[in-house]
Amino acid sequence: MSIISRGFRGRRHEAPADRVPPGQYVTRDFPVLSAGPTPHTPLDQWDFSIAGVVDEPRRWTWDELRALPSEEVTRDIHCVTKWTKLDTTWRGVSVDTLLDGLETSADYVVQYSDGGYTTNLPLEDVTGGKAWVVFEYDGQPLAPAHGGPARMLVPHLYFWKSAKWVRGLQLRAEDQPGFWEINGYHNYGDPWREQRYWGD
Amino acid sequence: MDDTMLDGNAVAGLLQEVFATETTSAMVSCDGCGSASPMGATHVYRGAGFVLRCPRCETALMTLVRGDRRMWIGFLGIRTLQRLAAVRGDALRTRSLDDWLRPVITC
Amino acid sequence: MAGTAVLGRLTWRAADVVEIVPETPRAKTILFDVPGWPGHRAGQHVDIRLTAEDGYQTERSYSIASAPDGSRLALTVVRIDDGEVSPYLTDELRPGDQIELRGPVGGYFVWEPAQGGPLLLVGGGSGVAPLMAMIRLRAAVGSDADTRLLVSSRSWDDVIYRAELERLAGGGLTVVYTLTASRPPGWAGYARRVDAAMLAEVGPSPAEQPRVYVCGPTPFVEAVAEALVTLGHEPARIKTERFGPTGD
Repeated sequence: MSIISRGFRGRRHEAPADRVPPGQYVTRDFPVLSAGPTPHTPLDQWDFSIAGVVDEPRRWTWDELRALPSEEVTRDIHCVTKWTKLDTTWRGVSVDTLLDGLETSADYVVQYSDGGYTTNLPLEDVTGGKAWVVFEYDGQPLAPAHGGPARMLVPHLYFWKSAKWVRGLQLRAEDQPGFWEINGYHNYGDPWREQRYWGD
Repeated sequence: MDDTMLDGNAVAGLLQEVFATETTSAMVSCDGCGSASPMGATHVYRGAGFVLRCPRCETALMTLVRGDRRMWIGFLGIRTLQRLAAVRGDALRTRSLDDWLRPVITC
Repeated sequence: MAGTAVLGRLTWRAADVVEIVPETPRAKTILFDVPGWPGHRAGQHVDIRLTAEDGYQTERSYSIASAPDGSRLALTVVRIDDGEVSPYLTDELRPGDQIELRGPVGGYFVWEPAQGGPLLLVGGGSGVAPLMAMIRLRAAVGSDADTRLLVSSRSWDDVIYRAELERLAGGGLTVVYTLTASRPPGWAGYARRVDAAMLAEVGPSPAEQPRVYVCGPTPFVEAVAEALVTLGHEPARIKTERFGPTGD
Protein backbone atom coordinates (compact mmCIF):
# COMPACT_ATOMS: atom_id res chain seq x y z
CA MET A 1 0.00 0.00 0.00
CA SER A 2 1.65 3.26 -1.11
CA ILE A 3 1.98 6.20 1.21
CA ILE A 4 -0.25 9.07 0.17
CA SER A 5 1.80 12.22 -0.32
CA ARG A 6 -0.06 14.88 1.60
CA GLY A 7 -1.12 17.69 -0.67
CA PHE A 8 0.13 16.13 -3.90
CA ARG A 9 -2.27 16.39 -6.81
CA GLY A 10 -0.08 16.06 -9.85
CA ARG A 11 -0.74 18.25 -12.81
CA ARG A 12 -3.88 16.76 -14.23
CA HIS A 13 -6.87 18.32 -15.81
CA GLU A 14 -10.54 17.55 -15.55
CA ALA A 15 -12.40 16.29 -18.58
CA PRO A 16 -15.73 14.59 -19.34
CA ALA A 17 -15.47 10.90 -18.52
CA ASP A 18 -16.56 9.84 -21.98
CA ARG A 19 -13.48 11.52 -23.43
CA VAL A 20 -10.98 9.84 -21.10
CA PRO A 21 -10.28 6.12 -21.46
CA PRO A 22 -9.85 4.07 -18.27
CA GLY A 23 -6.60 4.68 -16.41
CA GLN A 24 -5.72 7.82 -18.35
CA TYR A 25 -5.00 11.36 -17.13
CA VAL A 26 -5.54 14.47 -19.19
CA THR A 27 -2.53 16.65 -19.90
CA ARG A 28 -2.14 20.02 -21.60
CA ASP A 29 1.49 19.30 -22.44
CA PHE A 30 2.68 17.27 -25.36
CA PRO A 31 5.29 14.91 -23.90
CA VAL A 32 8.06 13.87 -26.24
CA LEU A 33 8.50 10.13 -26.17
CA SER A 34 10.59 8.08 -28.55
CA ALA A 35 12.31 4.75 -28.82
CA GLY A 36 15.52 6.17 -30.23
CA PRO A 37 17.38 9.20 -31.48
CA THR A 38 15.53 11.68 -33.70
CA PRO A 39 16.27 10.93 -37.34
CA HIS A 40 16.95 13.80 -39.71
CA THR A 41 16.22 12.66 -43.23
CA PRO A 42 16.49 15.57 -45.66
CA LEU A 43 13.25 16.15 -47.52
CA ASP A 44 14.90 15.64 -50.89
CA GLN A 45 15.80 12.12 -49.79
CA TRP A 46 12.50 11.40 -48.07
CA ASP A 47 9.85 9.17 -49.56
CA PHE A 48 6.81 7.23 -48.44
CA SER A 49 6.11 3.76 -49.81
CA ILE A 50 3.33 1.26 -49.81
CA ALA A 51 4.57 -2.22 -50.56
CA GLY A 52 4.10 -5.86 -49.69
CA VAL A 53 1.07 -7.86 -50.77
CA VAL A 54 0.00 -5.37 -53.43
CA ASP A 55 -0.35 -5.60 -57.20
CA GLU A 56 2.04 -2.75 -57.58
CA PRO A 57 3.99 -0.87 -54.91
CA ARG A 58 3.50 2.87 -54.61
CA ARG A 59 5.92 5.57 -53.71
CA TRP A 60 5.65 9.31 -53.17
CA THR A 61 8.39 11.87 -52.79
CA TRP A 62 7.82 14.65 -50.26
CA ASP A 63 6.51 16.99 -52.94
CA GLU A 64 4.25 14.30 -54.34
CA LEU A 65 2.82 13.54 -50.92
CA ARG A 66 2.17 17.21 -50.26
CA ALA A 67 0.40 17.49 -53.60
CA LEU A 68 -2.18 14.91 -52.56
CA PRO A 69 -5.48 16.08 -51.08
CA SER A 70 -4.98 16.62 -47.35
CA GLU A 71 -7.34 17.43 -44.53
CA GLU A 72 -7.32 18.93 -41.08
CA VAL A 73 -8.10 16.40 -38.39
CA THR A 74 -8.89 17.06 -34.72
CA ARG A 75 -8.79 14.10 -32.40
CA ASP A 76 -8.02 13.05 -28.85
CA ILE A 77 -4.83 11.01 -28.46
CA HIS A 78 -4.05 8.48 -25.77
CA CYS A 79 -0.57 7.36 -24.80
CA VAL A 80 -0.11 4.05 -23.05
CA THR A 81 2.05 5.85 -20.47
CA LYS A 82 -1.28 7.19 -19.20
CA TRP A 83 -1.54 10.68 -20.60
CA THR A 84 -4.39 11.75 -22.85
CA LYS A 85 -4.43 14.95 -24.84
CA LEU A 86 -7.76 16.26 -26.04
CA ASP A 87 -8.53 17.98 -29.32
CA THR A 88 -5.15 17.71 -31.01
CA THR A 89 -5.17 19.18 -34.49
CA TRP A 90 -3.23 17.79 -37.39
CA ARG A 91 -3.07 18.07 -41.15
CA GLY A 92 -2.32 15.08 -43.32
CA VAL A 93 -3.26 12.70 -46.07
CA SER A 94 -5.79 9.99 -45.30
CA VAL A 95 -4.47 6.47 -45.71
CA ASP A 96 -7.63 5.85 -47.75
CA THR A 97 -6.27 8.32 -50.29
CA LEU A 98 -2.92 6.52 -50.37
CA LEU A 99 -4.59 3.15 -50.82
CA ASP A 100 -7.19 4.37 -53.29
CA GLY A 101 -7.54 1.91 -56.14
CA LEU A 102 -4.93 -0.43 -54.69
CA GLU A 103 -5.65 -4.14 -55.05
CA THR A 104 -4.59 -6.19 -52.09
CA SER A 105 -5.48 -9.36 -50.27
CA ALA A 106 -3.56 -8.22 -47.22
CA ASP A 107 -5.27 -8.26 -43.85
CA TYR A 108 -2.44 -6.61 -41.91
CA VAL A 109 -0.14 -3.69 -42.13
CA VAL A 110 3.21 -2.80 -40.58
CA GLN A 111 4.23 0.86 -40.30
CA TYR A 112 7.98 1.31 -40.55
CA SER A 113 10.05 4.35 -39.73
CA ASP A 114 13.47 5.91 -40.02
CA GLY A 115 15.51 4.53 -37.13
CA GLY A 116 13.94 1.08 -37.39
CA TYR A 117 10.74 1.48 -35.39
CA THR A 118 7.79 -0.66 -36.47
CA THR A 119 4.24 -1.14 -35.31
CA ASN A 120 1.54 -3.45 -36.64
CA LEU A 121 -2.22 -3.26 -37.10
CA PRO A 122 -5.02 -4.93 -38.99
CA LEU A 123 -5.48 -3.24 -42.38
CA GLU A 124 -9.06 -2.35 -41.46
CA ASP A 125 -7.70 -0.17 -38.64
CA VAL A 126 -6.01 2.18 -41.08
CA THR A 127 -8.85 2.40 -43.57
CA GLY A 128 -12.32 3.87 -43.50
CA GLY A 129 -11.23 7.28 -42.25
CA LYS A 130 -9.26 6.00 -39.27
CA ALA A 131 -5.67 6.88 -40.18
CA TRP A 132 -3.56 9.60 -41.75
CA VAL A 133 0.00 10.39 -42.66
CA VAL A 134 0.27 13.78 -40.98
CA PHE A 135 2.84 16.53 -41.51
CA GLU A 136 1.41 19.41 -39.51
CA TYR A 137 0.52 19.70 -35.86
CA ASP A 138 -1.44 22.63 -34.50
CA GLY A 139 -1.04 24.54 -37.74
CA GLN A 140 2.75 24.23 -37.87
CA PRO A 141 5.06 21.83 -39.71
CA LEU A 142 5.49 18.76 -37.56
CA ALA A 143 8.61 19.18 -35.40
CA PRO A 144 11.27 16.45 -35.62
CA ALA A 145 10.89 15.69 -31.90
CA HIS A 146 7.22 14.91 -32.51
CA GLY A 147 7.87 12.76 -35.55
CA GLY A 148 8.44 15.27 -38.32
CA PRO A 149 8.54 15.55 -41.26
CA ALA A 150 5.67 13.05 -41.19
CA ARG A 151 4.19 10.51 -38.81
CA MET A 152 1.17 8.26 -38.71
CA LEU A 153 -1.96 9.31 -36.87
CA VAL A 154 -4.18 6.43 -35.80
CA PRO A 155 -6.02 8.01 -32.87
CA HIS A 156 -8.45 5.25 -32.02
CA LEU A 157 -5.57 3.15 -30.69
CA TYR A 158 -2.84 3.94 -28.15
CA PHE A 159 -0.39 6.35 -29.64
CA TRP A 160 2.50 3.92 -30.00
CA LYS A 161 0.44 2.62 -32.93
CA SER A 162 1.07 5.96 -34.70
CA ALA A 163 4.65 5.68 -35.83
CA LYS A 164 6.82 8.78 -35.75
CA TRP A 165 9.16 9.40 -38.70
CA VAL A 166 7.09 6.99 -40.78
CA ARG A 167 8.47 6.03 -44.18
CA GLY A 168 5.97 3.48 -45.35
CA LEU A 169 3.39 0.78 -44.89
CA GLN A 170 3.99 -2.85 -45.59
CA LEU A 171 0.82 -4.74 -46.40
CA ARG A 172 0.93 -8.35 -45.23
CA ALA A 173 -1.14 -11.50 -45.29
CA GLU A 174 0.07 -12.38 -41.80
CA ASP A 175 0.34 -10.20 -38.75
CA GLN A 176 3.85 -9.30 -37.61
CA PRO A 177 4.27 -7.77 -34.16
CA GLY A 178 6.25 -4.55 -34.14
CA PHE A 179 8.83 -3.07 -31.80
CA TRP A 180 6.71 -2.59 -28.68
CA GLU A 181 4.33 -5.48 -29.41
CA ILE A 182 7.30 -7.84 -29.23
CA ASN A 183 8.49 -6.31 -25.98
CA GLY A 184 5.43 -6.35 -23.77
CA TYR A 185 2.78 -4.13 -25.23
CA HIS A 186 -0.57 -5.38 -26.46
CA ASN A 187 -0.85 -6.50 -30.05
CA TYR A 188 -3.95 -4.37 -30.74
CA GLY A 189 -3.96 -1.53 -28.22
CA ASP A 190 -7.54 -0.29 -27.78
CA PRO A 191 -7.47 2.36 -25.05
CA TRP A 192 -11.18 1.95 -24.33
CA ARG A 193 -10.64 -1.67 -23.38
CA GLU A 194 -7.37 -0.70 -21.67
CA GLN A 195 -5.32 -3.06 -23.82
CA ARG A 196 -1.91 -1.87 -22.70
CA TYR A 197 0.13 -5.05 -22.22
CA TRP A 198 0.26 -8.65 -23.35
CA GLY A 199 -2.83 -10.55 -22.41
CA ASP A 200 -4.87 -7.52 -21.35
CA MET B 1 22.05 13.20 -29.53
CA ASP B 2 18.65 14.30 -28.23
CA ASP B 3 17.71 16.70 -25.47
CA THR B 4 15.54 14.08 -23.86
CA MET B 5 18.10 11.29 -23.89
CA LEU B 6 19.31 9.95 -20.54
CA ASP B 7 22.04 7.58 -19.42
CA GLY B 8 21.63 4.06 -18.11
CA ASN B 9 21.91 5.62 -14.62
CA ALA B 10 18.42 6.96 -15.03
CA VAL B 11 17.01 3.43 -15.05
CA ALA B 12 19.29 2.12 -12.31
CA GLY B 13 16.31 1.44 -10.05
CA LEU B 14 14.43 -0.37 -12.79
CA LEU B 15 17.49 -2.45 -13.68
CA GLN B 16 17.90 -3.36 -10.06
CA GLU B 17 14.26 -4.51 -10.01
CA VAL B 18 15.01 -6.72 -12.98
CA PHE B 19 18.39 -8.15 -12.07
CA ALA B 20 18.03 -8.00 -8.28
CA THR B 21 21.38 -6.28 -8.04
CA GLU B 22 23.12 -3.05 -9.00
CA THR B 23 23.52 -3.26 -12.76
CA THR B 24 24.72 0.13 -13.98
CA SER B 25 28.33 -0.90 -13.52
CA ALA B 26 27.87 -4.15 -15.45
CA MET B 27 29.49 -4.20 -18.89
CA VAL B 28 27.23 -4.88 -21.83
CA SER B 29 28.53 -5.75 -25.27
CA CYS B 30 26.58 -4.76 -28.34
CA ASP B 31 25.42 -7.19 -30.98
CA GLY B 32 25.57 -4.41 -33.54
CA CYS B 33 29.13 -3.14 -33.25
CA GLY B 34 30.67 -5.46 -30.68
CA SER B 35 31.84 -2.68 -28.38
CA ALA B 36 31.37 -2.91 -24.62
CA SER B 37 30.04 -0.18 -22.34
CA PRO B 38 28.92 0.03 -18.75
CA MET B 39 25.13 -0.19 -18.52
CA GLY B 40 25.21 3.20 -16.83
CA ALA B 41 26.67 4.71 -20.00
CA THR B 42 24.05 3.36 -22.38
CA HIS B 43 21.82 5.85 -24.14
CA VAL B 44 18.36 5.64 -22.65
CA TYR B 45 15.28 6.75 -24.53
CA ARG B 46 11.88 6.95 -23.03
CA GLY B 47 9.12 5.87 -25.38
CA ALA B 48 6.13 3.71 -24.49
CA GLY B 49 8.82 1.92 -22.44
CA PHE B 50 12.53 2.46 -21.95
CA VAL B 51 14.98 1.62 -24.72
CA LEU B 52 18.65 1.24 -23.83
CA ARG B 53 20.92 1.74 -26.83
CA CYS B 54 24.61 1.24 -27.45
CA PRO B 55 26.39 4.57 -26.92
CA ARG B 56 28.66 3.84 -29.90
CA CYS B 57 26.23 2.75 -32.60
CA GLU B 58 22.72 3.30 -31.13
CA THR B 59 21.74 -0.32 -31.69
CA ALA B 60 18.86 -1.13 -29.34
CA LEU B 61 20.31 -3.34 -26.58
CA MET B 62 17.26 -3.89 -24.45
CA THR B 63 13.82 -2.60 -23.65
CA LEU B 64 12.19 -2.26 -20.25
CA VAL B 65 8.44 -2.12 -19.95
CA ARG B 66 6.76 -2.00 -16.60
CA GLY B 67 3.12 -3.01 -16.54
CA ASP B 68 0.93 -2.80 -13.50
CA ARG B 69 2.05 -6.14 -12.12
CA ARG B 70 4.41 -7.42 -14.74
CA MET B 71 7.63 -6.32 -16.28
CA TRP B 72 9.11 -7.12 -19.68
CA ILE B 73 12.77 -7.14 -20.48
CA GLY B 74 13.38 -7.26 -24.22
CA PHE B 75 16.87 -8.51 -25.05
CA LEU B 76 17.31 -7.04 -28.49
CA GLY B 77 20.99 -6.49 -29.06
CA ILE B 78 22.92 -7.58 -25.99
CA ARG B 79 25.62 -9.99 -26.92
CA THR B 80 26.98 -10.46 -23.41
CA LEU B 81 26.46 -8.92 -20.01
CA GLN B 82 29.39 -9.01 -17.62
CA ARG B 83 29.09 -8.21 -13.97
CA LEU B 84 31.00 -8.98 -10.80
CA ALA B 85 29.98 -12.23 -9.23
CA ALA B 86 28.63 -11.65 -5.70
CA VAL B 87 31.41 -12.38 -3.21
CA ARG B 88 30.48 -12.93 0.44
CA GLY B 89 27.82 -10.24 0.05
CA ASP B 90 30.54 -7.59 0.54
CA ALA B 91 30.65 -6.64 -3.12
CA LEU B 92 27.01 -5.60 -2.89
CA ARG B 93 27.30 -3.79 0.39
CA THR B 94 26.72 -0.08 0.40
CA ARG B 95 28.94 2.23 2.32
CA SER B 96 28.72 4.26 5.44
CA LEU B 97 31.15 6.92 6.53
CA ASP B 98 32.85 4.55 8.98
CA ASP B 99 34.13 2.40 6.12
CA TRP B 100 36.13 5.34 4.87
CA LEU B 101 37.26 6.77 8.18
CA ARG B 102 38.86 3.61 9.49
CA PRO B 103 41.85 3.41 7.10
CA VAL B 104 42.40 7.19 7.22
CA ILE B 105 42.69 7.37 11.01
CA THR B 106 45.81 5.25 10.98
CA CYS B 107 47.72 7.79 8.86
CA MET C 1 28.61 0.56 11.49
CA ALA C 2 28.54 -0.34 7.83
CA GLY C 3 25.12 -1.30 6.57
CA THR C 4 25.09 -4.87 5.45
CA ALA C 5 22.05 -4.27 3.34
CA VAL C 6 20.94 -7.15 1.24
CA LEU C 7 20.88 -5.50 -2.14
CA GLY C 8 18.26 -7.62 -3.75
CA ARG C 9 14.90 -6.35 -4.85
CA LEU C 10 14.60 -2.67 -4.12
CA THR C 11 11.77 -1.75 -1.82
CA TRP C 12 9.97 1.50 -1.36
CA ARG C 13 10.68 2.96 2.04
CA ALA C 14 9.04 5.72 4.00
CA ALA C 15 11.23 8.80 4.26
CA ASP C 16 10.49 11.43 6.91
CA VAL C 17 11.07 15.05 6.02
CA VAL C 18 13.28 16.47 8.76
CA GLU C 19 14.15 19.88 7.43
CA ILE C 20 13.84 21.98 4.30
CA VAL C 21 16.68 24.39 3.67
CA PRO C 22 16.50 27.11 1.02
CA GLU C 23 19.70 27.13 -1.01
CA THR C 24 18.99 29.68 -3.72
CA PRO C 25 15.85 31.50 -4.88
CA ARG C 26 14.86 28.41 -6.86
CA ALA C 27 16.51 25.53 -5.03
CA LYS C 28 15.91 23.86 -1.71
CA THR C 29 17.60 21.00 0.04
CA ILE C 30 15.32 18.51 1.69
CA LEU C 31 16.81 16.55 4.54
CA PHE C 32 15.24 13.14 5.11
CA ASP C 33 15.48 10.56 7.80
CA VAL C 34 14.97 7.07 6.39
CA PRO C 35 14.62 4.35 9.01
CA GLY C 36 16.65 1.35 7.95
CA TRP C 37 18.69 3.28 5.40
CA PRO C 38 21.60 1.02 4.40
CA GLY C 39 23.98 3.85 3.59
CA HIS C 40 25.01 5.01 0.15
CA ARG C 41 27.94 5.87 -2.08
CA ALA C 42 28.69 9.32 -3.39
CA GLY C 43 27.02 9.80 -6.75
CA GLN C 44 24.12 7.44 -6.19
CA HIS C 45 20.53 8.57 -6.42
CA VAL C 46 17.11 7.64 -5.15
CA ASP C 47 13.80 7.20 -6.93
CA ILE C 48 10.96 8.98 -5.15
CA ARG C 49 7.30 8.19 -5.60
CA LEU C 50 4.40 10.51 -4.97
CA THR C 51 0.83 9.26 -4.67
CA ALA C 52 -2.23 11.48 -4.82
CA GLU C 53 -5.34 10.65 -2.82
CA ASP C 54 -7.05 9.17 -5.86
CA GLY C 55 -4.15 6.81 -6.48
CA TYR C 56 -2.42 8.79 -9.21
CA GLN C 57 1.30 8.15 -8.94
CA THR C 58 4.42 9.57 -10.41
CA GLU C 59 8.09 8.88 -9.87
CA ARG C 60 11.25 10.93 -10.20
CA SER C 61 14.93 10.35 -9.57
CA TYR C 62 17.05 12.68 -7.46
CA SER C 63 20.75 12.48 -6.75
CA ILE C 64 21.77 12.19 -3.13
CA ALA C 65 23.64 15.38 -2.31
CA SER C 66 24.95 14.34 1.09
CA ALA C 67 27.78 12.09 2.18
CA PRO C 68 26.71 8.93 4.02
CA ASP C 69 25.35 9.88 7.43
CA GLY C 70 23.50 7.09 9.19
CA SER C 71 19.84 7.20 8.27
CA ARG C 72 19.99 10.75 6.91
CA LEU C 73 20.14 11.83 3.33
CA ALA C 74 19.71 15.12 1.54
CA LEU C 75 18.22 15.83 -1.87
CA THR C 76 18.46 19.20 -3.58
CA VAL C 77 15.50 20.17 -5.74
CA VAL C 78 15.44 23.01 -8.25
CA ARG C 79 11.92 24.31 -8.79
CA ILE C 80 10.83 24.11 -12.42
CA ASP C 81 7.90 26.48 -12.78
CA ASP C 82 5.54 24.24 -14.70
CA GLY C 83 6.98 21.04 -13.29
CA GLU C 84 4.73 18.43 -11.77
CA VAL C 85 6.95 17.30 -8.93
CA SER C 86 9.53 19.97 -8.13
CA PRO C 87 7.01 22.67 -7.12
CA TYR C 88 5.38 20.14 -4.80
CA LEU C 89 8.71 19.33 -3.17
CA THR C 90 9.85 22.92 -2.84
CA ASP C 91 6.54 24.63 -2.03
CA GLU C 92 4.28 22.10 -0.34
CA LEU C 93 6.42 19.61 1.57
CA ARG C 94 6.84 20.27 5.28
CA PRO C 95 8.92 18.76 8.08
CA GLY C 96 6.97 15.78 9.40
CA ASP C 97 5.64 14.78 5.97
CA GLN C 98 6.48 11.40 4.55
CA ILE C 99 7.24 10.40 1.00
CA GLU C 100 8.29 7.10 -0.50
CA LEU C 101 11.71 6.53 -1.88
CA ARG C 102 13.84 3.63 -2.89
CA GLY C 103 17.55 3.27 -3.19
CA PRO C 104 20.31 3.94 -3.19
CA VAL C 105 20.62 3.16 -6.85
CA GLY C 106 23.43 3.46 -9.31
CA GLY C 107 26.94 2.06 -9.18
CA TYR C 108 28.38 3.57 -12.30
CA PHE C 109 28.32 7.28 -11.53
CA VAL C 110 30.05 6.84 -8.20
CA TRP C 111 33.28 8.06 -6.62
CA GLU C 112 34.95 6.23 -3.78
CA PRO C 113 37.73 7.86 -1.76
CA ALA C 114 39.91 4.81 -2.34
CA GLN C 115 39.90 5.74 -6.03
CA GLY C 116 41.62 9.03 -5.22
CA GLY C 117 42.20 11.68 -7.86
CA PRO C 118 42.85 13.69 -9.81
CA LEU C 119 39.19 14.44 -10.17
CA LEU C 120 37.40 16.78 -12.54
CA LEU C 121 33.79 17.40 -11.58
CA VAL C 122 31.65 19.45 -13.97
CA GLY C 123 28.13 20.35 -12.94
CA GLY C 124 25.40 22.37 -14.63
CA GLY C 125 22.60 23.75 -12.47
CA SER C 126 21.19 21.01 -10.25
CA GLY C 127 23.82 18.66 -11.69
CA VAL C 128 26.10 19.73 -8.88
CA ALA C 129 24.09 17.64 -6.42
CA PRO C 130 25.80 14.25 -6.89
CA LEU C 131 29.16 16.03 -7.25
CA MET C 132 28.50 17.68 -3.89
CA ALA C 133 28.04 14.26 -2.33
CA MET C 134 31.49 13.38 -3.64
CA ILE C 135 32.99 16.62 -2.33
CA ARG C 136 31.36 16.22 1.07
CA LEU C 137 32.56 12.64 1.35
CA ARG C 138 36.05 13.71 0.34
CA ALA C 139 36.00 16.28 3.11
CA ALA C 140 34.56 13.89 5.67
CA VAL C 141 37.32 11.33 5.15
CA GLY C 142 40.05 13.96 4.98
CA SER C 143 41.08 13.12 1.43
CA ASP C 144 43.49 15.53 -0.22
CA ALA C 145 42.90 14.16 -3.74
CA ASP C 146 43.41 16.84 -6.42
CA THR C 147 39.83 17.82 -7.17
CA ARG C 148 38.61 20.51 -9.53
CA LEU C 149 34.93 21.41 -9.48
CA LEU C 150 33.62 23.48 -12.37
CA VAL C 151 30.14 24.81 -11.76
CA SER C 152 28.03 26.29 -14.51
CA SER C 153 25.18 28.42 -13.27
CA ARG C 154 22.94 31.11 -14.68
CA SER C 155 23.90 33.63 -12.03
CA TRP C 156 25.77 33.99 -8.77
CA ASP C 157 22.51 33.78 -6.84
CA ASP C 158 21.71 30.45 -8.47
CA VAL C 159 24.93 28.75 -7.42
CA ILE C 160 23.88 26.00 -5.04
CA TYR C 161 26.08 25.27 -1.98
CA ARG C 162 28.07 28.43 -2.59
CA ALA C 163 28.97 29.18 1.03
CA GLU C 164 29.92 25.60 1.78
CA LEU C 165 32.07 25.33 -1.33
CA GLU C 166 33.94 28.45 -0.31
CA ARG C 167 34.57 26.93 3.08
CA LEU C 168 35.74 23.60 1.67
CA ALA C 169 37.99 25.03 -1.04
CA GLY C 170 41.67 24.47 -0.44
CA GLY C 171 43.51 21.32 0.62
CA GLY C 172 43.48 20.11 -2.96
CA LEU C 173 39.95 21.27 -3.83
CA THR C 174 39.61 24.03 -6.41
CA VAL C 175 36.19 25.47 -7.21
CA VAL C 176 35.64 27.44 -10.41
CA TYR C 177 32.39 29.06 -11.49
CA THR C 178 31.07 30.13 -14.83
CA LEU C 179 28.01 32.35 -14.83
CA THR C 180 26.15 32.19 -18.09
CA ALA C 181 23.26 34.64 -17.85
CA SER C 182 24.23 37.40 -15.44
CA ARG C 183 27.22 38.37 -13.35
CA PRO C 184 27.62 40.39 -10.14
CA PRO C 185 29.42 43.73 -10.53
CA GLY C 186 33.17 43.28 -10.75
CA TRP C 187 32.94 39.60 -11.69
CA ALA C 188 36.28 38.52 -13.08
CA GLY C 189 35.51 34.85 -13.61
CA TYR C 190 34.17 32.90 -16.55
CA ALA C 191 31.00 34.22 -18.12
CA ARG C 192 30.13 31.75 -20.85
CA ARG C 193 29.03 28.19 -21.45
CA VAL C 194 31.57 25.54 -20.59
CA ASP C 195 33.80 24.86 -23.59
CA ALA C 196 37.06 23.13 -24.41
CA ALA C 197 39.21 26.19 -23.70
CA MET C 198 37.69 26.57 -20.24
CA LEU C 199 38.09 22.88 -19.47
CA ALA C 200 41.71 23.00 -20.59
CA GLU C 201 42.36 25.93 -18.24
CA VAL C 202 40.55 24.40 -15.28
CA GLY C 203 42.32 21.09 -15.87
CA PRO C 204 43.65 18.56 -14.97
CA SER C 205 45.21 17.74 -18.34
CA PRO C 206 44.41 14.46 -20.09
CA ALA C 207 47.97 13.33 -19.41
CA GLU C 208 47.19 13.33 -15.69
CA GLN C 209 44.36 10.88 -16.41
CA PRO C 210 41.72 12.40 -14.17
CA ARG C 211 38.46 10.70 -13.37
CA VAL C 212 35.81 12.97 -14.81
CA TYR C 213 32.20 13.24 -13.69
CA VAL C 214 29.78 15.43 -15.65
CA CYS C 215 26.24 16.01 -14.51
CA GLY C 216 23.35 18.27 -15.46
CA PRO C 217 20.80 18.78 -18.22
CA THR C 218 21.34 16.55 -21.22
CA PRO C 219 22.44 19.30 -23.65
CA PHE C 220 24.98 20.54 -21.07
CA VAL C 221 26.40 17.08 -20.52
CA GLU C 222 26.59 16.42 -24.26
CA ALA C 223 28.52 19.62 -24.91
CA VAL C 224 30.93 19.12 -22.02
CA ALA C 225 31.60 15.44 -22.76
CA GLU C 226 32.28 16.25 -26.39
CA ALA C 227 34.63 19.08 -25.44
CA LEU C 228 36.52 16.81 -23.06
CA VAL C 229 36.98 14.18 -25.73
CA THR C 230 38.29 16.74 -28.22
CA LEU C 231 40.80 17.84 -25.57
CA GLY C 232 42.08 14.30 -25.43
CA HIS C 233 40.43 12.94 -22.30
CA GLU C 234 39.74 9.23 -22.57
CA PRO C 235 36.02 8.58 -23.05
CA ALA C 236 36.19 5.64 -20.65
CA ARG C 237 37.32 7.96 -17.86
CA ILE C 238 34.41 10.33 -18.37
CA LYS C 239 31.25 9.41 -16.53
CA THR C 240 28.07 11.26 -17.28
CA GLU C 241 24.73 11.66 -15.63
CA ARG C 242 22.18 13.35 -17.86
CA PHE C 243 19.17 14.86 -16.16
CA GLY C 244 16.98 15.17 -19.27
CA PRO C 245 16.02 18.29 -21.19
CA THR C 246 15.36 20.66 -18.31
CA GLY C 247 17.32 18.94 -15.62
CA ASP C 248 14.05 18.33 -13.73
